[in-house]
Amino acid sequence: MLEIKNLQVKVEDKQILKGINLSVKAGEVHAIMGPNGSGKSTLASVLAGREDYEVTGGEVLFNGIDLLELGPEERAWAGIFLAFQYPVEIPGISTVQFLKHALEAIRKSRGLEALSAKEFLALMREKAKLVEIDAKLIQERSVNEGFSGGEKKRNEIFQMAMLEPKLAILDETDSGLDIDALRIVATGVNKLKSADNAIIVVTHYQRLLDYIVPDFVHVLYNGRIVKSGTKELALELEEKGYDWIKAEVNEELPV
Amino acid sequence: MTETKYPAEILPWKVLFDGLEGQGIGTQEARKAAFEAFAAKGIPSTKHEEWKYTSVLDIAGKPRHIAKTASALPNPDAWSSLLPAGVEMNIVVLIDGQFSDVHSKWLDQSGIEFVSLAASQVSIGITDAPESPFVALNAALANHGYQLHVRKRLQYPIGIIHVTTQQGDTSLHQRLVTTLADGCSAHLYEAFLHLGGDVLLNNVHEITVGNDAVMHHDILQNAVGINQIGFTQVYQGKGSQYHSFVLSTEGALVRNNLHVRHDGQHCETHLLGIYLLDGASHVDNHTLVDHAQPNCYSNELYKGVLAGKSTAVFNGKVMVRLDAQKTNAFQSNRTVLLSPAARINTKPQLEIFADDVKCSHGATTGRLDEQALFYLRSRGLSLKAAMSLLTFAFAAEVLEKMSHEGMRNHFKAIVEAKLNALATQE
Repeated sequence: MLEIKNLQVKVEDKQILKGINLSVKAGEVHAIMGPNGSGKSTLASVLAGREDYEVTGGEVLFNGIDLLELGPEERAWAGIFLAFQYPVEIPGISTVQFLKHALEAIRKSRGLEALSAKEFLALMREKAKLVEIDAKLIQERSVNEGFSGGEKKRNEIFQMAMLEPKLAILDETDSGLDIDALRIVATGVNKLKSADNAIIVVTHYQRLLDYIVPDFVHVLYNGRIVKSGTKELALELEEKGYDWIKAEVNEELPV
Repeated sequence: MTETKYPAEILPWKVLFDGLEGQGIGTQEARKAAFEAFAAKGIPSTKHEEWKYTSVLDIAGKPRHIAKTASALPNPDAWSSLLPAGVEMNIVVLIDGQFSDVHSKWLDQSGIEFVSLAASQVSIGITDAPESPFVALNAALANHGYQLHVRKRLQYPIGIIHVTTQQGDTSLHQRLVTTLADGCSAHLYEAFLHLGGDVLLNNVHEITVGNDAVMHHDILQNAVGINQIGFTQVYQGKGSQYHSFVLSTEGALVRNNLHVRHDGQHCETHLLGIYLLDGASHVDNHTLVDHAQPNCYSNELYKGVLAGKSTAVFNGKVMVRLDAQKTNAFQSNRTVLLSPAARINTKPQLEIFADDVKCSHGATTGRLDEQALFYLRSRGLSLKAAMSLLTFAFAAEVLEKMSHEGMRNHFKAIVEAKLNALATQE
């Protein structure tokens, strides 16, 4: 589904990603872990098409299409979804209001008719229940405005549920969540998991992975994936921290 | 010859004035005095503080005919889109300033007097204003003018459709005098249809809202290519309310002066405006709320979205006089620039002489929030759809303050269509 080959990315003249290789197949859950500043969020943002980044090398194929050639909306149509680490507040627009446009555009790109108002409402109710989000929050309030940290993250997963992406990238979705909110968000994600879609979980801590169990764990450090393994790797990281990884990597580097 | 004493840009107007041969509204004496007041002020250059960002020399400094009555009556279909769908209203059609009996339609004229100023004994009102020489020019040249007098709480709004049909370089000087008797209410809607050539519309509207009377006044300015200079002076009696809304989406040069004075206590004034421009359109809103009495409230919100090479001016002055204690006056102007060439000059002015008042003003200018645009696009909205949605949400804050649902929906549809067009261009 997703093939990242030697991806190199700069932000304001600083090389953040220095050659990422990653392969994700349908039905898989990948966790990308790493210390702060290792490039995790940059990777997530570049995949979603944020424009402040300069790709200086490598390629990203999504179901055979060159992802880097596409604008953010075209990536959404292709089936990419980014759950933001810091969901944006938008005054004057409700979540449901823009999701209507979003869903319509995505369905259109797949040759599907727009849902009727009634169908849309039914879908919205079903998905709101899935992530246990208050309907008022998404129907009457401006997007993320005055939402608590947990409400913002739940709203992200609600949108994911509505748009049914093929590849969901959860960028630090666990940050700022208490244990109850974490459980709700993770349960929502697990219900959306299927053999046809894939999930990349970007996180600093192991605790989210207790709920969303990854098939693969990758450690990103200093712009490269320096270690890959199974979920046991995450447990090891939790126990030992990142220092041993850093030490290992630094040993290998020529001085 | 007297001509020699007039500067070059005044001469064409002098020729016009002489050509009227004493015809017009008001007395010839008053008209003459008004013309001299205009000539003494001259056409304002951009050195004039009140006209700093709006250059009128090109449009007002050249010879223009005075509009005569249209030879062929336009088809009413031409202005049907200007009428709010589903809103029943009395309709007054003014063609080149002149009342059209054929096209006007009264649903219920009880409590309404609508008479020509030429025939009535009513004073034509202000003949000069320090802020604008065009009021004096209007007083000197106005050949059509009407008085609207309301003596009850009207059930239906009154729509005034201003149609201009003249070809060639024309000027039109219209005058309206609206009075609401004590305790009455009226909803006035004005729209402009420009079918002619290079026209300069110079309107003066004087409005008196009686004690405890309520007036709503909605104005649509979407006439392509029009040059329009308007001066509205509102006087509010005690306990009265004046609610205005001005939407400008087109116009070569549009200058709106909206001045409100409180003549009694416990007045409420709500001034709303939206300007959505592209191309080389220029819209200048100058407002003045004169808190001359204690215990009054005013709130003003103007918002704009500018694309292309369009320019806008907002100059909002709030005057709180020495006696006007317990005044609450709020003002805000916010503009979003969609293109690097678009420009807004905004100047809030507070002049406060009383000491026990609550006043605030603020002005912001910026671009659309890049983060919000990316967020929406990452969900599948095209750039255009995301821009339309964000700009509409921005403008909707003003629309939501309109209390008349039918009127609000009418303006909402125009705003939505214009913002879609702006998003497509940028």
